[in-house]
Amino acid sequence: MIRKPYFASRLFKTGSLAAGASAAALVLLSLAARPAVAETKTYVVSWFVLAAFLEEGNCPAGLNPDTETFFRRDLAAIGMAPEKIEAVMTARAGAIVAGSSSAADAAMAADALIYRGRANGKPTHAYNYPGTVPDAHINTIESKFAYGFNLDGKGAASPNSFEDPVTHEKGVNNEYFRAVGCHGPERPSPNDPYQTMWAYAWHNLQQSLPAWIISVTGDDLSKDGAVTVTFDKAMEHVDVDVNVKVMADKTFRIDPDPRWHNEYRATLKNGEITTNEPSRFRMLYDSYWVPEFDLTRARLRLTMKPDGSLDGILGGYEKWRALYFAYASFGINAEDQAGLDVPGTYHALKRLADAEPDPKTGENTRISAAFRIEAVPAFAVPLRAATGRSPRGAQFSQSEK
Amino acid sequence: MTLSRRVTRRRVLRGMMGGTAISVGLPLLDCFLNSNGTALASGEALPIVFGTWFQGLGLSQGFWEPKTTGANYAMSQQLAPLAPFKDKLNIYSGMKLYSDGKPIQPHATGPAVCFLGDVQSSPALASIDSLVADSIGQNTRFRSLEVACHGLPESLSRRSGTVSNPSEPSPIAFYQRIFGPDFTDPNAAEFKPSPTVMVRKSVLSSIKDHRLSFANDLGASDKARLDEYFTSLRELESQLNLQLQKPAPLAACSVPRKAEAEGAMGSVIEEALVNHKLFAGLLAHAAACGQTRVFNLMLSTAQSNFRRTGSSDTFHVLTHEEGTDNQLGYQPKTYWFQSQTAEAFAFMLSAFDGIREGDGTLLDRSLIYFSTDTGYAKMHTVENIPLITAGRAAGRMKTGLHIAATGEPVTRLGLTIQQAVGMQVGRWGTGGNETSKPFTEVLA
Amino acid sequence: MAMNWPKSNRRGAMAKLACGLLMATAFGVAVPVHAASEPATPGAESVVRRITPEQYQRIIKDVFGPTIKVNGRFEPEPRVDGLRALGSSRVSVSAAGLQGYDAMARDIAGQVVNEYQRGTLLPCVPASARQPDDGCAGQVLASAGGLLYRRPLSQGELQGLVNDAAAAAKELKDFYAGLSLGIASLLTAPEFLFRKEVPENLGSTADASQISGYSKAARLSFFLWDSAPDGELLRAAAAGELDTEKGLNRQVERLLSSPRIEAGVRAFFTDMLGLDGFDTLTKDAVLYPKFFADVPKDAKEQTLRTIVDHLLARRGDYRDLFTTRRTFLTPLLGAVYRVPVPENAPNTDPSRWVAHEYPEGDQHIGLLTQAGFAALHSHPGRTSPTIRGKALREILLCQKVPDPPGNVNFTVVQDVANPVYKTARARLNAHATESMCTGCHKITDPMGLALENFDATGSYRNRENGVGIDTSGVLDGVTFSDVAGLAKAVHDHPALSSCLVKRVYSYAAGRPAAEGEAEFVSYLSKGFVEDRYQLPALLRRIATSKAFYRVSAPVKSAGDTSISDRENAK
Repeated sequence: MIRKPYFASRLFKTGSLAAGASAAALVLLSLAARPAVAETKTYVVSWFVLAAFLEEGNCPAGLNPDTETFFRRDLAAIGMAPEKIEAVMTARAGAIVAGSSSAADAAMAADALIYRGRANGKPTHAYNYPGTVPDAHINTIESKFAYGFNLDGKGAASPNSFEDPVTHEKGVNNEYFRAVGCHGPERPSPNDPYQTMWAYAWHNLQQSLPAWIISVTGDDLSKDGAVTVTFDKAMEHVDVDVNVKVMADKTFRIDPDPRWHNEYRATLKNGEITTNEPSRFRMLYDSYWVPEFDLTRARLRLTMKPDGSLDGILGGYEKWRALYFAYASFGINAEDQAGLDVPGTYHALKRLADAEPDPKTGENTRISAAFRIEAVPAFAVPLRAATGRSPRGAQFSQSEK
Repeated sequence: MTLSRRVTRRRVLRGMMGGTAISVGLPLLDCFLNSNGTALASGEALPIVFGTWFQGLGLSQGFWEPKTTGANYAMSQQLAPLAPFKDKLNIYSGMKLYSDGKPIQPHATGPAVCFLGDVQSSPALASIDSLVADSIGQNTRFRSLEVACHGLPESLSRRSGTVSNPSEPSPIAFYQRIFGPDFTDPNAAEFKPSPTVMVRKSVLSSIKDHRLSFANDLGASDKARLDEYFTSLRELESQLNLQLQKPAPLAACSVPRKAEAEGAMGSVIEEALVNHKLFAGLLAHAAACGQTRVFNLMLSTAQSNFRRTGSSDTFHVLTHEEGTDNQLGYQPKTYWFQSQTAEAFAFMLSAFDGIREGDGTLLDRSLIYFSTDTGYAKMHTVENIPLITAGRAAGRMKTGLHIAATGEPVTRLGLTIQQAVGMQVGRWGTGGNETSKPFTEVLA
Repeated sequence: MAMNWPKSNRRGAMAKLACGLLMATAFGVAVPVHAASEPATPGAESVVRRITPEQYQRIIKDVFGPTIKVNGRFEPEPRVDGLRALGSSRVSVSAAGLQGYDAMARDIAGQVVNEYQRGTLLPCVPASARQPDDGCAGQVLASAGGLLYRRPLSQGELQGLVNDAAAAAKELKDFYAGLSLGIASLLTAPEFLFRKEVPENLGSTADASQISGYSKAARLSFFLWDSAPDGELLRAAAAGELDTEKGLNRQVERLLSSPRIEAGVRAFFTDMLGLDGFDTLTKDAVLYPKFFADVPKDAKEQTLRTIVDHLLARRGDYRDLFTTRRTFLTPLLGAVYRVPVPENAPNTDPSRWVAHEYPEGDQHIGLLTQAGFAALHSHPGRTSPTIRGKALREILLCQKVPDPPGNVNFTVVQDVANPVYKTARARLNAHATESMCTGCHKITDPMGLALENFDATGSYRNRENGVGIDTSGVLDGVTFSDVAGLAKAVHDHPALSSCLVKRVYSYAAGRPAAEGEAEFVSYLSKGFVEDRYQLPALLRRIATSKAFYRVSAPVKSAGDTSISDRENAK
């Protein structure tokens, strides 16, 4: 990959707010020294969620059942006696509600539910070994539409593919949405498009995540033409403003660790930026939810909006186990409190995974997916110029697998 | 269960026939009706009572906030039960907490900031009620009293991260603790003045005469100013004198009738509400009898696990799973639970307002701090957390106001409360939640 | 927040301060420091001042150390003639206020003697912790008392305190409890809470006289350090050194060259510019979502840092504060101003200040374009050229702008969504056509409108409601087309520096300049010009003058009897 300066004042062109003594000046000077005059706009990601397309009837078998129902279903499937199931469910009701179950009963219920996998007749942990819980074949999306891209290149001929409701691109691969789209907590409502589990995660994690910085560089961003798009990890978290929106116009230092530098050739047309060819997308996220995104054959489209912000879709193939553990790490809480069927999700992801088969087992290791991205204007400066210190990113270099 | 069924008409009548102020003020607290005839309080200044009232999962965003701010606002849809007390309370909307780069754990972070002023529940910190109790709770039988309607001994009150003040979940046991054999009637108690106050008084008296010479050689206007200082000094002295005398009898103090039945301990909201009524009455009586000046009541835990009789859907699960009704604009079942909060809090206020003390009521000299863990429960946000203060804090709080403090840290209210109860505190909270700005508009 | 001055700079500053002539020649202009001799003044009546909350906190830290926390709520001073410092000469202590002082005093005394601190804070250990020890108590109370009263305690005062502490220690069987009552007693004393000045030789005549050495020491230190005198200054006072020109000069130079001068300069400008307004400033959260939490605090600090850096560290010309392109920013302020400010410290570190210089031609120029002025003098949801113009005239030029009449229709001005009048200028023009308003708005608006490029939070904009902003205007005959022109007009305005002189002198004296002092004030103003508008030189000129320490006899009202006479007669 070529390494161009991927940082700059987004107001470089106007120059009226250019810095004098600050470190950012170094950036501007280095840019100004380049022979070709280019314009760069930089942004910080302000919203990142599963790109779920809301549509009545795209779960023909209905939404997935509530917690109590799928617990009973799974216990019956492993052959638990009806009386015992009743005892477990009664104790569970008493355990999640204070005081009505003895501690022993509550522990019995928790054990029965958490260890509801079976291997050789012995109980196994349902979240660590979800494959040992019988596959309940949870309900999945059956529809024409889903956000995303034609990742496998097969176009409309691709089996099980969707059509993007905005671009009308055919052959869209988004099996991740298919797998989890019929979970109630993953479905946005018309009132409140932001009420999904992914939105919940973003809302609560945004101020502790590393900020993601996007830059768009071209000869003249007010005109159609070739542009370069970068994604980098910042050294800082985002700040939020008084309305809990990511604060615009803050300055971020770019982590020089090359693993989090993504660079794409793209085309700007009518304010829409589309990457030219599939590439990889790697970015650090949250250790509890999804530690790291690593999309292969990634595609990107971004709209430059009149208010100065960006809005778009990122698609690619992600390791489905990484997505599974976002749910599994919540364990019994994901099931009991949020109504998400964790082993059921596991089976669906595994079944619908559609790329990169393991050479030994033949099992697909990745699943097609699409994420919604929004970003607001921000400043970006290189770490070294900002602090004069050696990059902190170096300490991660040993932990890479 | 249930208490209400056991209360007989005869008992109600007997209470009413007693003709006491309490029976009028606490129509619903039949079991606590006083059997003594009590005189009204003499009207002397009675001390501030501070309490916290907590309930998990907040109120329904968009439906609890009054539409206008300042005085003379119209009570909001969900807080309609509080309308009778509108002139005695303040509603605070728009406030939030700052996570300072830490992940938000809604059910822990919200109470941590409301009670400790700190996102991380740092072990060194004491809860706001403990700070208040340090200031005003020293000379009462109980430094503070903690009760919970959720069936567990949990409480949000703590001296530090390792010493928390457990809640009493049983109203019957709580009655025994306050009004059992150890209870001595304040109106007849022996009195022993505090030696610390005695020496303070003697130091003050000995230096007063000396200090008077300070103003001797001043011009007329400066002398007048110093004269005010010396007047203040004499007032301070007479205050100390007052503390050295046997306190005025608490005319409004009466011993409630023993509770004989209580709601089942657990998470069924109907049972918890029965216990809430009992606790509200007992706390009001305990405060009126000078047994404590600080209390903490939890209706539910943070992340409320209340459910309705016969349903296994807990309030918390509903906030996540229940869809928003497009016509109503809210989650209907969740809304129901949140409305119970408003009803219960209104009952709490009626219990305090029902005890007449001279020209005012117990509520007038109280300050009750309503807080919760989340703003918009569906998303578990920690913005726009509903907060209320009820009572006039013995004249130190102005009331009848809706204060829209969008984006302000919730700690501003905690600081305001501490100053209202007379604590010498200039700032409160840690990190981004630290503030030195009380709501001066409510401090009288 | 101490500014980190480069060492060499500080040394240079001291060397320059030590010799005024040297400083002047450094600029290649040989100007004697005292060009004209100081005019005679009749003195004015000394005023008793209540110490301010900031002074109280600073003194406690100075006397008992930085580990002591001051918890409490203070009664506010009113602003009189543009300064809270003059308000402190008008206030007393209410009953509630004294209760507050009393509770604060006991809290502080409790911290001083608390078992974790007493070992390091107290100079002695009692023979028994459960019994009185007059020797140890006397030692503590004499040294703390001397610093708090700003003079040594009399034998009678000390004995009284020691006796009280002993009686309390005996009663409570606790030496430290007794001692803490003694310390608390000092902290509620009028001798501590009020600054009273004692004339040196005011006999039966009502002639003007100098104040006593200890009173001089207090005047000096409150003026230059915003705190009580330190041990060295009290020593000089006791030795009579402040009554000699040489001794006084030496102490003034010491105070001016101490890093503590920064606290004094911050206190003065906080007062003069009304920066305490930021403690309660709020903005409309919908329109200005970035202006919340730490931003108002940062905005205030930005202005103070700019001032301290320019006037102290750089020995700059006061007038250049209004045209300087140098300032300091935090990442949050950077977001408000839309200027790149990289973090230079880990997240949540509160001290993230970065030196910043705007390039030539940038619209950010001088104090007027900082949020410290532009946001402070705006409404919560919109700018106000009128308020800004009024503030500029009243605060910086010491001119008085009349208040608006009571029955004015402001509808047009307030309606920022007005479809016809899209900019503040258009709205004000529509409003000011009402004849009774025209006169006053002519005084304030033409310079306020030049600041319209800065919204109600100080963020730059060049359009309002889609219409370009016209920033042309006029200030007392000087016309300009943009904010840089306004900045220059303010810089060159003759009232700018004389206003500062007037404010500094009344701040120092605790009262407006007296009638008989007009000539002295004009001497100070001329001197300020000669001193190339350098603030330290002005401070020195006041602090070493005779007029500063001269008081007249107090005016007693007819039939006046002292309070103690009345008390004793009871």
